[in-house]
Amino acid sequence: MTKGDSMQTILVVEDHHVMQRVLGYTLTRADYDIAIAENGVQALEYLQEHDCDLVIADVAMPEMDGLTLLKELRAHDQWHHLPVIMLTASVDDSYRVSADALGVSAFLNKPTSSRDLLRTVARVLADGRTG
Amino acid sequence: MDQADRLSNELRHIAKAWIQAGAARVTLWTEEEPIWTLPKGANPLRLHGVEIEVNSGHGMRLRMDWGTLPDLTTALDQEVAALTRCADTERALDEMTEAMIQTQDQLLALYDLAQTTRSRVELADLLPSLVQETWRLVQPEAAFVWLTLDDEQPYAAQAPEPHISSRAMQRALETVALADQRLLWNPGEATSQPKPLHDDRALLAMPLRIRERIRAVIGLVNPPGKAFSSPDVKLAGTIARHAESQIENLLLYRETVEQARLHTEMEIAREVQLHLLSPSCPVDATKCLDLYATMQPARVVGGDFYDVLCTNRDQVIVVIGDVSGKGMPAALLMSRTQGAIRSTLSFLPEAGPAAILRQVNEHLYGAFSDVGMFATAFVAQYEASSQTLTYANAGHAPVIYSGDGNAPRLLRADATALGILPSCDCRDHRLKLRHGDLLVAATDGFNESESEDGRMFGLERLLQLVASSHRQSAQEVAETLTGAVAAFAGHMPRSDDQTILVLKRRPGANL
Repeated sequence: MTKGDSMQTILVVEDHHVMQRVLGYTLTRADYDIAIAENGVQALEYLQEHDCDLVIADVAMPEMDGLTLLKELRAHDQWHHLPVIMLTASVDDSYRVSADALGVSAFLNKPTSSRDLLRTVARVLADGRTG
Repeated sequence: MDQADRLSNELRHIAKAWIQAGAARVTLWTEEEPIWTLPKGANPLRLHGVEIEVNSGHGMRLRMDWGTLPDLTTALDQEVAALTRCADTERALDEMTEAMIQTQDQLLALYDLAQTTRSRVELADLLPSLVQETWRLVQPEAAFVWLTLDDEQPYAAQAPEPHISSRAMQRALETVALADQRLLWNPGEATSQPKPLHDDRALLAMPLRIRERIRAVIGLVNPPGKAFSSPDVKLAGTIARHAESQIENLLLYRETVEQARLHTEMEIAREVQLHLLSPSCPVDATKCLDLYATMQPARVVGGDFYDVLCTNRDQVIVVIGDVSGKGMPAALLMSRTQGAIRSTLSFLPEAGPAAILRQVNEHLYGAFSDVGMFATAFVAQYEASSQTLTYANAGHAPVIYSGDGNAPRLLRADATALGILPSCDCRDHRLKLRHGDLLVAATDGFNESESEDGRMFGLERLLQLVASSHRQSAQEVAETLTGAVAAFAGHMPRSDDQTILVLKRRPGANL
């Protein structure tokens, strides 16, 4: 995929293929450049070689889950301030508490409406730029 | 399926097309690993034929053994056809994804709306919450709702702040009601409907059909340069349908609460009335008289009344009456009539029954004639020392006397009911009550009670029943008559109040 000068890249980390497509479609329609990783390991591999403005990561994934990915990102200077939005279908608040402690930018419940997704992405990206 | 998988699938389509056109073998390589080879089961093609780099960032290469494939042009034609099929599939998938996202958005919006509005039981709470949520979900510049109900001031709510005039909101409702459909005024798009807003802003107006009529509108307003999209319109439509049912439910709830409140008030009124109608029978009276009275109103409260009073140690006074009409109006006048009789007795303790009725008529004539109602009344005074029953009857029936060893007979009224004429000309009549003599005074709910086949119970049946129950106690007589009338009516609902008062002289005693 080609990244235009003005397009911001979002890495979607999600193992569920339907969710990949829904997130990818919604964000692409809103003029974001999308990369997809199936889990935290693939996400880190991608980030080693590519720039990215925002990571949207599911919490529950095989190999490396979203919280572990977030922990890894915060442990590296290079990605310490990279905005991360966590997605979860779980009602377990402990995920949220842990993610907050690790400096997550925002939390979205699955399923989330396209409007809420785009609104949150725009807000987090705007905060990332100003911060 | 990730991007590499999707690309691999697309290349497989191309390879199939090449094989069909004559190529001997095609293998897809990633770096130095063969991913798949066509035809199935063939060994991976290594260094033979043509190799095509696939510029995808995945290091993929297609290697092909020409076989009988004539030339590169044919190969490319097949490739174009295969890619076209892939593109068509991808487009169909996009359309499905779009539809799924829209459906999911609408379901989530409904869920959010239901969560926010479900506990609202007042329109003044529901509408602001509804419009706030609409504004949050659709994200227009402003949103409003305008609702008009019969006999109520219009309800209005806006979010995020009051931007739109009441007049404009009212015009929006009138316009959608006239058009009987949603209306959209997007910038630059011509519409035949007059726009409720007199400026360049976009307006989407969704009608709400409540109680089978368009009585409300949800309006969404965007700044001049921002048109409403198709998903906006669909989402607003979903919200409008939800709002309709929420408002309908709330109105139903409001009515139910009001009915419950009225029911409670009526129950209290019933308790009060039954209390008024159940005076404890004076102990002195029961020495010489066996007395029983009861009332069953047709509705919660009724217009029938009875009373038993002792004015001195020698006298017992019994009263029965029936105010025209039923329900609360009759009950209110009944209470007033009963009060007037008691009050007259207290101020004129020596007054006879006719004097009491004349005084009460004078007192209540204005109240009755103002509302076009009246009350029949029968008053009887038993004097123990003389064993005489003096009575006066102002339009009341049926009153049955059974004594003297004769057949029961009716004690007919000799004057009009109270409240019909300014003066009542009823007179006192006297009877000597002997041991076992019986007086049965009822209201017309007994003799006018109807059977399922439309026959009336009538006075004759009452007289026969009184004759046959002559040896029973006062309570037993009342129960016999009440039971007979109920059996006669069968499943017919009681259409009038039923009150009965039975008086029977006990053997030889004085008060």
